[in-house]
Amino acid sequence: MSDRTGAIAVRGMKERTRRGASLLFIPGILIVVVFLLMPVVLLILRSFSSSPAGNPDIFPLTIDNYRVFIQQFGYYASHFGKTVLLAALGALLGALVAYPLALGIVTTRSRSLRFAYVFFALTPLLVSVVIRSYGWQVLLGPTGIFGQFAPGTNGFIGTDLAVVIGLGHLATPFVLLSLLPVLDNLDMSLIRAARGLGANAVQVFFQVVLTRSMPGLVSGLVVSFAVGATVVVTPQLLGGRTDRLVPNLIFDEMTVQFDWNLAASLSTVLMVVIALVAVAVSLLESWLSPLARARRASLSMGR
Amino acid sequence: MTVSYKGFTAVADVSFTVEQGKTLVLLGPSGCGKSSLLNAIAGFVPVTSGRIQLGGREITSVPPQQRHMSMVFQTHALFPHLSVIDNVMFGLKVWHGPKRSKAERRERAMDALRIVHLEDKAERYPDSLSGGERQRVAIARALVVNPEVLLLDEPLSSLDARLREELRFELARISAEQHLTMIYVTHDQEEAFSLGDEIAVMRAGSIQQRSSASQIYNEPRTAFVARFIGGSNLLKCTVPSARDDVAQVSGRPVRCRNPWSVPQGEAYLALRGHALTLHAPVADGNGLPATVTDVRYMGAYSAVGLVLGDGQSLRASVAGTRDLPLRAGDDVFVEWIPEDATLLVEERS
Repeated sequence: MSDRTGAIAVRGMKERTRRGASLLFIPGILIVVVFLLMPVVLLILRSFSSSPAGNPDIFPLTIDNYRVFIQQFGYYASHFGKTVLLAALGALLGALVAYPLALGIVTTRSRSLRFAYVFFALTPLLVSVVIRSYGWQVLLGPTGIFGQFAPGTNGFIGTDLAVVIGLGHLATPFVLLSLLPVLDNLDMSLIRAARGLGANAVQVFFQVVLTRSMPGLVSGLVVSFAVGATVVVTPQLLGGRTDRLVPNLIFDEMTVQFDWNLAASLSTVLMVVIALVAVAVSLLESWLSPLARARRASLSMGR
Repeated sequence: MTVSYKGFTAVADVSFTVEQGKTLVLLGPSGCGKSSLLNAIAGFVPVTSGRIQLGGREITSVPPQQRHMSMVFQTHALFPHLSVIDNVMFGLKVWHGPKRSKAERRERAMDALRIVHLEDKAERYPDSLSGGERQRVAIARALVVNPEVLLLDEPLSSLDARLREELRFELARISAEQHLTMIYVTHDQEEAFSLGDEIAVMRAGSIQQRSSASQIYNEPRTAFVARFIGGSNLLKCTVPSARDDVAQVSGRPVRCRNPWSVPQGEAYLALRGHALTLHAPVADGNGLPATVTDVRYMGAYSAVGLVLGDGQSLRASVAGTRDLPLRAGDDVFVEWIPEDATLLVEERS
């Protein structure tokens, strides 16, 4: 009898402490709501607004800001298409640079040397995007070490190539950061086993290292893509005056046309496009990657 | 060969030959250099000085993928993104041998899986296999390329005791059936004895003794070997004369063997615990008077702790499933036949 009341008392206490513990989530939830969720909600509300720029009041609501996408479908489709393409190419270029860097870093034996490599590889993150883009403007401009070989009088400035190079530079540290932990956790005996079975360095890379690091590579690519598709300065400084990217259109609507409502609807559509691409790439990875396929097969068979 | 990393010598001037179809076991405690030696043979670790030859062919600087050896790892190292059959076929796909059709490769991989009795798990993925099954797949994967030498780096250490024993017998069977040449690294004496045609006991980068299991057990070359294999008692003694096979222990002459020609002077006498018999105190016989310090019943035998007149202690394992009529403080006479006692010099380093 006394036993049972004891048990009830203990359970009551547990419930109370658990309820108390859940209160600890509140600061975190507040930060997420105030700093992440609210701006997005306000942005989406603004994209349905018809009140003039500068007016904090968003009512009355309208869908006119989205109607322009249907009215001028060709114009917006080509700008969004180009943004997606250049951001994707930039992310791929970043991956091409970051992968060998990551391999070099994880195979470094000395700890201090490794730290130095990681530090220097990530220094681009310490420098503003504006400075980095101006840097490329010099390098790719008519008198720069790369630009002097360009056919025109303006170096490579104003070409899509220049934009892709600039975006690739932005992407490199992000891909590197997501590759390092995956490659660090790669079981060295897998590489030794493959070598012992007769695989040369190229076969080891494509059949073992690349397959095993695919999850990290893909998440790095997705992050880089999102950064590349939203950055304003790089295409502004390195890209052409015509055929501009969506972030520049948004910037113009905000500061030149002063149409915040259209800027908001452009931003919302861009956000949705980036999210769709990210989801599509992740789905593709989990369908195609042999590693993910093996994991599914093991799961369905049970242990 | 010698293998050093940044001033640390992992393998110090080691030299040996393995005959075709035989198994050499490298046995030693962790950090003794046995894995470094194996990795140098496989080509994963560069040799600092010395040579490696395979069937008369110089392979010291040949890259690992061209050495025609394959390795089984402690962590099985199966490719998690490939099914069992694809894991086994991996070597056939990349091996620089005759080109084979996919059907032929599959057939050979299935043959290898049949050797390890896993033909019905061919389509499974490594994550859905048990530890023992994974290691058997790793063995099949290493066998399928017909390696000239099969290297095994503590292949059973990550398994539990029952599986370890099962796989040990399996490996012995496969090695006999396939006439494999194997170099097997382990720290486990039972594994070494049951698989090795020859056993090399390693310590601090060098081979202390290389010979058959029974010779290592009965005639340990050094005090380290005597202690590491089966835990011998080592008693300080003096050798009055190198020829007489007699040692002076605790002020008493006892008979023993001197296979390594230990010279006159200070030495050690190695005595297996279960080679000792305990009697009521007597004055004669080949042995020493001692006092019991503790008696522990172990099932198949009893472990008896003893101390000699000069304070040296030793342990005896007395066979039998009954409780011994002994207790701490009893005086006994420890006896052995001379063939079971071996004279050794102080450890060589």
